[in-house]
Amino acid sequence: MRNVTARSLLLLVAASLLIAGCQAPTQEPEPTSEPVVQPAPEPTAPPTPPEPSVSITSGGDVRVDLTGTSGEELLNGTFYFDFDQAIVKRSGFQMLNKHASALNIDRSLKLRLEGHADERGTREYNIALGERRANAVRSYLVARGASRSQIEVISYGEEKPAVLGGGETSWSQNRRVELNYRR
Amino acid sequence: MLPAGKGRRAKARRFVMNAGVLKSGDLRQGLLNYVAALGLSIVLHFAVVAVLFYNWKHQPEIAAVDADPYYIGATTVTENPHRAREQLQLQTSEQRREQRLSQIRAERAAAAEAEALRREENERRMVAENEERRKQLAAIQSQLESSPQAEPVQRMDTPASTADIRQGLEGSDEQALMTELAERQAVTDDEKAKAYASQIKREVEQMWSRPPSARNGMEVLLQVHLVPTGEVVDVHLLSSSDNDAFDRSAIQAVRKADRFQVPADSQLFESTFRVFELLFRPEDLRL
Amino acid sequence: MKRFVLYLALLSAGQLVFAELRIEVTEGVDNAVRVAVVPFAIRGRSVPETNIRDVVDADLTLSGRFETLPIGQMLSLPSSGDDVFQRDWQLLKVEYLIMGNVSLAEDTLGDKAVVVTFELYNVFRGVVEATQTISGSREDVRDLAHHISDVVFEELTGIRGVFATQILYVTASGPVGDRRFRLNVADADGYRVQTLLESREPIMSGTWSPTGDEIAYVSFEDDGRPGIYVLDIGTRRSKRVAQFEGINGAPAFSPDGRQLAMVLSRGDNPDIYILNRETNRLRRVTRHYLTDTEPSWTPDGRYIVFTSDRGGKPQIYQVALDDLSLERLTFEGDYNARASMLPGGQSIVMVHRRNDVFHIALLDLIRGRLMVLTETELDESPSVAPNGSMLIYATQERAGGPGILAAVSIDGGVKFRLPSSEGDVREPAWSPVKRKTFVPR
Repeated sequence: MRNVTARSLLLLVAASLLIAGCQAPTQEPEPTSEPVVQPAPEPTAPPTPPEPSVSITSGGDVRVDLTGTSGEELLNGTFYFDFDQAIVKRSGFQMLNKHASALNIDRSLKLRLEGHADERGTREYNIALGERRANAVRSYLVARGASRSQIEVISYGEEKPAVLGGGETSWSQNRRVELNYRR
Repeated sequence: MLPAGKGRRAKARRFVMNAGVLKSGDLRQGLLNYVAALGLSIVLHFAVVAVLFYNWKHQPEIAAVDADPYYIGATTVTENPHRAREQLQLQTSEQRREQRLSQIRAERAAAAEAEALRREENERRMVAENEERRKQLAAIQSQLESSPQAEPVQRMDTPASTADIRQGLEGSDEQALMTELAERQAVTDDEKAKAYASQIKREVEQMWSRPPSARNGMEVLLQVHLVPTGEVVDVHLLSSSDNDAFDRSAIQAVRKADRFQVPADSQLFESTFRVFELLFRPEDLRL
Repeated sequence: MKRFVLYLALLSAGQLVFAELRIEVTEGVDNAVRVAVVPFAIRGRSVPETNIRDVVDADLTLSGRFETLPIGQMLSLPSSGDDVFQRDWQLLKVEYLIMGNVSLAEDTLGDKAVVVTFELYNVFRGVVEATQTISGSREDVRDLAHHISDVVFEELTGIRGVFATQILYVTASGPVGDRRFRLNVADADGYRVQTLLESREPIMSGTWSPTGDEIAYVSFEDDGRPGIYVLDIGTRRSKRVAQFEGINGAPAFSPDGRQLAMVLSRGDNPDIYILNRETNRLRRVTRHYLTDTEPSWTPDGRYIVFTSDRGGKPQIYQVALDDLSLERLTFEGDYNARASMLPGGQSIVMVHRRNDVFHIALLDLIRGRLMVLTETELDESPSVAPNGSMLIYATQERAGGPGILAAVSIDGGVKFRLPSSEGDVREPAWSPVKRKTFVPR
């Protein structure tokens, strides 16, 4: 029963993340999801040890079953940023916590953080901006227990947009950090 | 591509007509007594135009006659196909050249005719103005000459008429009048020269295309030599800007202007416009 | 007697006032100079594939400083000053003629196969302003033509021509997920495109060595990781000179070519480093926890100009290489980046954001005057021509459209776009030297 609610809550988080990604960057993440979701992962830890599992997809995403009981979940691997900002949005914390757990559970996992920027501004400055974003994600993950040696940061600046074309709808999807796993 | 020659010529002729209308309008104002002379001159001018047009129509024909034997000789001698082609090209381009030349010449001639007409009218007006001035001057002179004699008579006659009094007053102020007159003359010349000078400035500015290496504050001083028709006959570089392209652009501007409006008054021309200096110093560049 | 004095005064008044007339001309129209490039006469039996006249005509037109007369309007086709009917050209308002002849030796190979003689003729003065005879191989005809354009341009503008130079640039084509990146080099007029490098991973920041023999660039070809490479144009061989953790970017050769400035983050934050190419030693020249990037050398090689957001927003700074002292150069606007200094060292060109739009701007460092040069949007990567009078930059054909290259003169007077069919074109870099030079006989 609890698993079902947890899963539906996770779905909600994923949905809200998606929505957040598509929204105008100036908007703060909706506070409604926070209080409901936060207690969710913690109570799952104490009970007796079903084995958590981690696997990597061909696309470099990661599948995890953190409890060993709830079934595998494909973790969202893209995090979006505001214009000219390198601050991890609070709406992404929940999902990043799971990534941190995955890295913690499987120390053989290697994670490549790919930082990106939108096309505005100079290319080399955007390389720096992309790196700053990826570094921000790395700091978050390391703070949650991932090892720094597991994580590599590469910035592509504006060179590898997710979406071609101009305008805020494209730009907001290109200001991102992508998580890419390998062994 | 230029429009067809006929249209151009018609336009040019219309321009001549317009110029004539304008001028006669001007003249009617000031010179009613010159109407007869004017009429005669217009008739004369049309005659000149007619003669000139007649001549230009014939020019290309003469050229063609000149050219023909030469080309025949050239084509038979040639063996090199390239040269033959070149020659052919030359020949056709020569014909084309003649055609277009006659076109352009006709246009130019019409324009020049209009210009000549205008200039003559201008000169006539100036002559008339001078005449007027001379008459005024003469009147004043005679007045001045007569006044000293009249003075004692007036004093003897007790009730002096107002006209007499005025005459007397003017007479007594003879010296002041002289200087005033001289000054007025100087001012009109001054103003006239200034008007012509600013016209020259405008024309040169219209022609002056500065090279991209030009910078505000560069200076080049030229000496320009004109003939009384206003045509530029010589341009000397008096001081250089040390930038050859900039110097050349200034000289080129004067050369392109080709001829300037100059006063018909030969005295003013000789004193001011036969040789003058042009200082080029850009102030409006972005760099 | 009195009357005589009066007349004398009247007569001399005019002369007294205007003994020396000097007219000052302070404005001009700066119209393009009208020239005619006459078809070159062919001596010999065969005709070169490249039409010299057309190349010269296109060069001069592209520069924006000249208006050329179409062949159809020419009244005659002279090949030297002796054949010129001065008055004809004056009537057509042509100021200068470029004419000459080309001879192609049928059986001669090598550097003497093509011989070109040309003249620059001043129609209004009736004199030949410049004349040269040059020769080259059959492959050099285009270079010979660009040489003629250069001579004419310099003679008439007072500025070295750049028609014989080349442009290095990057293209990207294909859909997201299947992009192809190419590092290309082409003549300054867009002809003779050669692809130096092709990759599925991004290629960035191509830049020329001062001699034009080498090109430094950033490539992500090694498993997606960035590295700085130096390509020898002669051998077409690339050598990796830097691959540290994090950013390896923005290479810039020193004016003497012996050092390479670059940006490395080394797992931390980007700073400017200098690699001595002889000793292979790295020297760090900036140290700040925020971003320092886009180094470029001053012409004297004593300073490096770079972008830094240490003040909160990206601005241009300058570091002295002897004592590493810093100076901030830009204060106007909240986004100034990718600066490079003009040959004279008095001005920089850079990307400048104004009203949320990115333009290329010129900053006069002495007078402190900022001039926005471009009207297009999302302008970036300005690269100044070796003559310092033009710059090429990347922009977009329309908002959100593919990238194209455009050029603007340093005074903002001449602007033109170089449309391309190759997809997204970006990061142009103007070569510092000509592709080929010719010594006149």
